[in-house]
Amino acid sequence: MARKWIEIVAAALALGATASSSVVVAQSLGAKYNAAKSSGLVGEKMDGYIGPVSSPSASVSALISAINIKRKDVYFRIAKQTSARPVDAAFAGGCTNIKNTESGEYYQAPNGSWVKRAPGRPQLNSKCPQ
Amino acid sequence: MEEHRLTRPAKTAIRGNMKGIASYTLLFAAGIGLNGCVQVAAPDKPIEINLNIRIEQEVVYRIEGAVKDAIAENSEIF
Repeated sequence: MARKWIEIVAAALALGATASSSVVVAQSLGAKYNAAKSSGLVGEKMDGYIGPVSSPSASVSALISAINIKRKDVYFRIAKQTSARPVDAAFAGGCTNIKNTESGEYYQAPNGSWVKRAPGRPQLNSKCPQ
Repeated sequence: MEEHRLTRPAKTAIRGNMKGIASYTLLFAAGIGLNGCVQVAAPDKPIEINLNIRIEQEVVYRIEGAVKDAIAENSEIF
């Protein structure tokens, strides 16, 4: 009986540890991303993904990949729901992401260059809903 | 002496042939005439390209709502 209780407590502890560690990972990715965004290390591209504004460090490259993999998953899900092509879902995402950038953050202009978001409307690709 | 005759005399055949040549000549002349006034140059860039852009834009407009919802739901990566 006592042994069974010990097993249950151990299992509960193990579960708790897994849950809290995954939360920590998620928080740190989100926090890292927000920091990179506001310090101008990464910017919103027209294709719906983020990219390095200047030549990135290894950790920034890793952050970009981590975010973009998760975004790709979201875009593919939208594409499936709306029976559109993933590339179109991602492009539509790019339009929204660029519109959502805050003042001081970087985004890719229709000519491909990085532009710092100023107050007012961003420069959108002609295919974006204006 | 027995006379051998063709079942379809050559005279008719030649006449038929001549008719054919004459009509071809007419067609050819008409062709030259047309060639003079209708000169169609193939466009180097097909109109299809514009059509593709239009369709893509339609798709972007159509899925905009779903995209906005998904982005709001996953704000930690957007």
